[in-house]
Amino acid sequence: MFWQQFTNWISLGAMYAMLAIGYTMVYGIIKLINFAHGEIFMCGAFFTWWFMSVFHIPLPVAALLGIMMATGLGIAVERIAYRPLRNAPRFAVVISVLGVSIFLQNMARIIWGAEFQVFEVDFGIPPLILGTVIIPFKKIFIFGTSVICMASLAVFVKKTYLGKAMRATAADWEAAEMMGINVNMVIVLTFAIGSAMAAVAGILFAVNYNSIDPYMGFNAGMKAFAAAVLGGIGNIYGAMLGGLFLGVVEGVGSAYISSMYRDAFAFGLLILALIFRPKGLLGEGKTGE
Amino acid sequence: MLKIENVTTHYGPIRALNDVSMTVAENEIVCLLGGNASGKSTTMKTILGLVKPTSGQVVFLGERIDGLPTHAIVKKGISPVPESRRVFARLTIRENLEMGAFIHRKSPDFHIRDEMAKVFDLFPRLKERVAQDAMTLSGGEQQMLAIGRALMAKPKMIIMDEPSMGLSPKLVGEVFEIIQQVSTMGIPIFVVEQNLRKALSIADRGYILNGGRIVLADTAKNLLENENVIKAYLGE
Repeated sequence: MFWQQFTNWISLGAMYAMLAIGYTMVYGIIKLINFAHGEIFMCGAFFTWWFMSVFHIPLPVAALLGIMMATGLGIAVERIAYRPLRNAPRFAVVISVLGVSIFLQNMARIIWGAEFQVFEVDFGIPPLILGTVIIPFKKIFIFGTSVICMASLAVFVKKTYLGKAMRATAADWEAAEMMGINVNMVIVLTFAIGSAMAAVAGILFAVNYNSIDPYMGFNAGMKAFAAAVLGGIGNIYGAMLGGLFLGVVEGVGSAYISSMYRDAFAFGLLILALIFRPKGLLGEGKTGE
Repeated sequence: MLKIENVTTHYGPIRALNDVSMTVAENEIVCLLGGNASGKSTTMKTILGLVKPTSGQVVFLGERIDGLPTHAIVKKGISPVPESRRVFARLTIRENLEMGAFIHRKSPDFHIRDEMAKVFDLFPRLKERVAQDAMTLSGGEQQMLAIGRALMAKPKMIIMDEPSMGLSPKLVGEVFEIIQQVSTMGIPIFVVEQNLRKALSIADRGYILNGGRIVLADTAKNLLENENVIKAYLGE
């Protein structure tokens, strides 16, 4: 029973982790929280659903298109809500981004309706049976996709020239400019990667729950934000660990205490982390800014 | 090579530079001396495009560069060694040097290994610790890394902001020797300093900045003879 549930928890945790990465990467570079990030997650799922249900495009292609559109949207958010306010007081930027978040939520509601939409995916692959534990293929798919995405990101940040430039920019953007690094370009790249990850997470979320709605980004976004803080904001590996940890804590709490308090466990954990370990599990912006 | 012409720079209503003009020619070491709040750092920031002059212009190799973003100015061939080093603490020494060569990352005739080998010839201590994070280096070693990082860009000119700051007298001597060595590689150097005697001992020419104005400009030799006058300007 425990291991059966465990597969649910870590696949949920992996989705939080994917979403948390976007918060933490953007924070690492511009030291601001992207409150519209949950909406990118939602739009990634909706675009994909839209291509599948309206144009009858198969999931892999629809997902790819959905991810591309959500990434474009993330880049547009940076252009519209952040860049003009680069030198403005931080509070102004927070208001601007909250505005974008509300705008996107309502646009989705107008375009696709406020009700739940069915996101039906049938992989046609039998579950994996390990003794008494039955793991549906979709859980393996969710966890596997997340691990591949996160591992690719880790390699990108660690090994490639642009990845290193990103870390340099997070550490000291002015010094990075002095190396000839176009910091604006790095910021766009950061939003693009974060948004693509969020879109993948949104699609995985839809695959998991078979339903999507315009408000799905709010709750998931808040949880992922909590996961990013839990792991140490600005730290990519912290976001990965924080997401998985949050998924498990939420799962254990709702399985063994009460599922009514599902959200309370997640945010309770955040409060505990802020009291006892305010810099997060791995520390702020330590290794993988 | 570098010409600063009648530059006035403001921070809001405060005038930090007032009609400043100076030049750096090929194969020269030029130093800019000044006390606190004299406008030294503002001059540096103006050259680098980190602040925009309110009037006047900055010309590099016959091209106006004021108004360009910092990264574009660096691409033109001006490599900075910033104040207090600003090495990337959590990047390794190799990664820091790679960042120095960022502008060449797409050019096929740039061989990063060769350039790095040249830097290691100059600073063998960096080679020994190439895989360590820059934060593990001492202040003097970080200064060498910052200079090595600037050299990685194959610059047409290097500008340095207070390279002696926070270093022991022995290390200051070493750093200035290195500056001379870099100069013999044919790279002109513009150095902003508070340590006037050290700076003037290696420089060809010097400018004295006081209250945002150039109050003296002469050869380093003549300036050294007027040390007391300069000290008065520097507020020592």
